[in-house]
Amino acid sequence: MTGAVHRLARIAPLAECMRGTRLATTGFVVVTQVLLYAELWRALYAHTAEVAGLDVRQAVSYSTLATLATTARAMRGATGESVKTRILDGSIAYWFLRPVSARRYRAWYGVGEALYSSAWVAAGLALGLVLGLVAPPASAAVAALSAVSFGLGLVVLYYLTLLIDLVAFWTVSTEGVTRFYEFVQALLSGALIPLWFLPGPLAAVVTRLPFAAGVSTPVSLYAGRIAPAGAAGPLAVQVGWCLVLAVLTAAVWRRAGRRLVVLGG
Amino acid sequence: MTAIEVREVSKRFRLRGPLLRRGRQPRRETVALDRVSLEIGAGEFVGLLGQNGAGKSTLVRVMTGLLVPDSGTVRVLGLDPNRDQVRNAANIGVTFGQRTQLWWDLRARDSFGILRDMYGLPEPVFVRRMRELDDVLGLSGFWDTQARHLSLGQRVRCDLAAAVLHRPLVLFLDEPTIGLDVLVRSQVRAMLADLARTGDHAIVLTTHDVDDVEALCPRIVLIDRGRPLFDGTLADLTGIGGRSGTVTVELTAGGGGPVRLPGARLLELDGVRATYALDPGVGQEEFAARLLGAGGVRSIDFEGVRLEDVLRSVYAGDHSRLGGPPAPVLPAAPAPP
Repeated sequence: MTGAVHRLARIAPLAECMRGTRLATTGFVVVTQVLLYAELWRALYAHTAEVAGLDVRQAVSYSTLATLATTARAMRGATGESVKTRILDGSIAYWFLRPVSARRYRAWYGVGEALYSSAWVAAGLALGLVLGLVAPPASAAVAALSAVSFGLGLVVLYYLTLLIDLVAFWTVSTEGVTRFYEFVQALLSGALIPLWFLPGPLAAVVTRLPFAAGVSTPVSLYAGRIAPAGAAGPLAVQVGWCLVLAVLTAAVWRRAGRRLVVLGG
Repeated sequence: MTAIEVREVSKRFRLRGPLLRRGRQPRRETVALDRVSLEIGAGEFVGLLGQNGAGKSTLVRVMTGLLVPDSGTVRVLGLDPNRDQVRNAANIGVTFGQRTQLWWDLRARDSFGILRDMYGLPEPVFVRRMRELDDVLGLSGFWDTQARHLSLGQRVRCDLAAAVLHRPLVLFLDEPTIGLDVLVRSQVRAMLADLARTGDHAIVLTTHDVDDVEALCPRIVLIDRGRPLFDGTLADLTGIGGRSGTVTVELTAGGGGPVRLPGARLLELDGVRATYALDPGVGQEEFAARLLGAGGVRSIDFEGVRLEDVLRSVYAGDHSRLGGPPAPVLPAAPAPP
């Protein structure tokens, strides 16, 4: 019965593009953040050539890419297609009344979100390269490995965000848990501060968490912090988190369907 | 053929107080449905009525598979609507009052396109159905507008179109005309009447709008406190327990027309105007024949029992004429032709 389900991936980009102000806002935030962080890192490197094994060019590249990956993804959430918002407006019922399961629908919607945020990252990367903020990849292998890692990171981030969102089936409101997640994500993903600045034992733990798999791993590969020869381990960690989180979210979806609350009359 | 079969379905909701007071307040339980049984045949148009909180919406949610009953079984075209949610979804269409299924940021036309992809409708079929729906609901004037900018009436019409786009065999309509102006309401009713005429769809209409019910529903199921109080035809409900209509007769001046006649009780005589209450079991045609036979009659105006009045007395707690709670459920009405 279900036909061109893959076309559900166009919903999120289409919704974003319907609003010119949202596109302009995202562009403004991305450009401003990239330039501000680049200036910050340049200031930090004003009196030193190298910190923790990275020179200023690598550090600015890292910062620019990490900012792009985080901001582009955060801004796509404005479309509001989440369990939380749909439970609050009562239209979550329709997710369970169509011949595409809620889980599958949300996954295809997520593919669209990922493509949309990736387009922003690609545009930002191109701009960064032109402005000299981002160093080109050291080799074709680095480019390929960081692209694969970025893709895996998107999957990990999709599942993490989804897990937090699915909590709404039990709590209706997810304000608190979302705030906590965003705090942890910002701190432990390497988006604000590269994880190698953390104390040794803590860094060893944090780099193996799913938060790092979303941002730190792909950007570290691109910036040269992780050499292609040593990429297998971090990539395996990413794949591992993809599998673990996929199993976990599938289990939560199954329980969520039986917990459905349609607010109001 | 049975389209919907509800057998001994019960559902309770456990309500917990806010965290700080949870220790002091006992956990409350609300019985939303209490051993409800119901059969709806293919081609039937059923009005599901009841007060706020009577259990109508819960029953609809159970029948659509959104809620799992605590006990009892539900089958929609032979499928368990909760366990076979995806397969069942292909057979049913649903509207929930003012909750839209349109994608808020997209044009209405885009939402229809997404539903086409979900239901796997071939493009020519999709185009033909959109044209048919446009003819009845007048959608093309606004289907290029983002859903967020549609008026309530426009959005409701789009939602109705979205619910029937895939030609579902079973349709659940929860307050489909709530908040609509008379013009849009009549458009919606016309569209639903067209659907009913095909005889292919089992339609369940939940509403507080008695005009919708009187215009559309040959069969009525009345629910109160989670129990079905009445299941029968609209005529059964308005005539139950000896309720009768009134007849106003204008007599010819000085003609000495009928004053007292068998089959009706004279309520009032005001000059040439006499008002009667029909005795139980006396039909309008029969009494009209008696009046005309007696002569001296200028006009006859029958006024039936209004559904609204019946519902008002039932909601006020007068179940006596329905048999008193727990009421035996009357046999289901035959499917409309």
